[in-house]
Amino acid sequence: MNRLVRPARLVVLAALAACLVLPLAPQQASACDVSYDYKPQLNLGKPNMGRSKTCSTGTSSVGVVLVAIAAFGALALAGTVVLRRATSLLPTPPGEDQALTDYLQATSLTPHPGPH
Amino acid sequence: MTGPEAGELLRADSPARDRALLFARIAIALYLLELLLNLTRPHIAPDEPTLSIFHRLPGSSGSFGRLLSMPKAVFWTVVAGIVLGAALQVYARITRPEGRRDAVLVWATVAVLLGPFSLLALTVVSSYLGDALLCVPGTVFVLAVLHLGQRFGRVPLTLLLAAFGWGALIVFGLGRAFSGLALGTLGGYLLDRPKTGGSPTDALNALSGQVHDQYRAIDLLLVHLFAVNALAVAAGVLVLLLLLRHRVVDAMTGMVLGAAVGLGYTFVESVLFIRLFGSLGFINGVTGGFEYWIRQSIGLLGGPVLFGALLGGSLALALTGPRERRVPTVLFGLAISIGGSAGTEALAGWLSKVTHDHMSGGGAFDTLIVSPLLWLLPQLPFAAVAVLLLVAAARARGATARTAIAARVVPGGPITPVEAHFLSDPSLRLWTLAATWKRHGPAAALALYRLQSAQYDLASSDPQEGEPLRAKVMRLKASGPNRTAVPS
Repeated sequence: MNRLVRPARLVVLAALAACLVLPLAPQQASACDVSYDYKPQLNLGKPNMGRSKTCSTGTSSVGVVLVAIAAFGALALAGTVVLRRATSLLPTPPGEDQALTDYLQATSLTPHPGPH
Repeated sequence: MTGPEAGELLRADSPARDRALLFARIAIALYLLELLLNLTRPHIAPDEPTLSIFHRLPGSSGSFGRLLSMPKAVFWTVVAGIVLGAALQVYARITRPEGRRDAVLVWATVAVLLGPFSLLALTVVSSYLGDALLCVPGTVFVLAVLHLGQRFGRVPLTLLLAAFGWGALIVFGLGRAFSGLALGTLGGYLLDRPKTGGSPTDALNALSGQVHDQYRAIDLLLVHLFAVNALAVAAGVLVLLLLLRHRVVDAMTGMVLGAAVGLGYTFVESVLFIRLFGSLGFINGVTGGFEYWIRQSIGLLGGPVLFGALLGGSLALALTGPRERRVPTVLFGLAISIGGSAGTEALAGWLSKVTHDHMSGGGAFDTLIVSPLLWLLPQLPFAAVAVLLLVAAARARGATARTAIAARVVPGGPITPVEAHFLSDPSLRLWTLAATWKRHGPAAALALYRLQSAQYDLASSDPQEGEPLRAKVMRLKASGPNRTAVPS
């Protein structure tokens, strides 16, 4: 498990660095129209009424994939943190196994051991 | 909650039924008022139809035309529903049915009055089924998070799906039907008749004036749309909260229901935006994929979901708080929802205009960073309030649930002392599920999940109403080893 931690850290840091390249690069910015109250700014004197580029589907798809990875990653991370917290509240192995056995017997999902 | 149990709940709950009928009557009365205002509006074109919703833009035929105007068949179905609903109410007044018959008649009246409005949403989804299917994964993901992310007692899945359906079908339908009429009425009063003749400069000035007036009408229309949406969301959440009144209801319950209603609305609205805005790229620089990115990915939890959650939370607080603070809390929730939706929409549009004034849009930076940032930035304060409310609600629920679980502990009963220890801590509960899956497989983990859910339902129920839930827990315990074949 620990062998995977270092490469995983490197991957996460590289992904974060890659995400920062775009916003930190000096450039002009402008938003595409998102919703009802975005009033289109048209310039009749310019070619394509002043619209040189569109916010394309291809670039948007990259964003969708990144957000999906971030969402599932955040869920996995949250799950791991919660499970680690739970483990810290339980007795150390093999007491952890016994705690599960006792619990499952209390739920009646596993039968109680009969009298020997 | 199974289907028959949900049906029993609908029959047995008189306050929810009465409120649903009241809300349906108010909605229809307001719709008739909108119709009257539209019928009496000043006409700005000689060939305008009596009702502006039947007006079709030149060249907008087929599915695109259906997107912009209200289909006549839908309008006449709405009218037929109103007539039939009125007849059912007269019949109920004459026959005075009681018990189950009364319940069925009231729910049928509500369905007949409001059901036809859902045809507007169904028209959008069925016309663009491919786009709708693309919106399913994100929607299902958020619904799953809403369901599974609740700590301790959860809103039954049936009611969560009902909230989603209310948002997708009724809130969207009512918002569209009311706003379609309001657009024509506002246009009639605010727009000038088109002038003919004059120099090209005069024509250009007239066009500029018309565009300015159109924008003013759109601003007013948006406030109108958000007000209708907020009232429709509030009505749905209140009825669902009343259906849950035999359980412990808190701010988190309201937030989850409100968010689910908002998610349903977002689902249908996204399809509309992907199609409508995506086809106007030559004017607004947008593609369908970009609208998908904004509405079904980075901004999925914003807009209607965020304001639905805030409104739902405030309604639950009003319902569970002191009686004298109910009206101010509800009004506060409505003001946040309407004002927040309209304000953030206007502010995002204004921020976009500021950047447009000196440069043109497009490119990776604009698509991935600037556009979502300008859209979500005005919503940030509201998101912060929602997070604070959620954290406070989660803490309060934790304290209440631990007390309730402790009060239900009986050795050999539905919740034993060993089980109570694990049920009182959500992290320990998750661990039991993960460890059971690892040791005994998914079937055993699923059986345990069902048992724990039933135990939480029991702990969060009214003690007087808890007997069926207690029996359910004992039944699950009794059938556990045989059903799941868990080895000892």
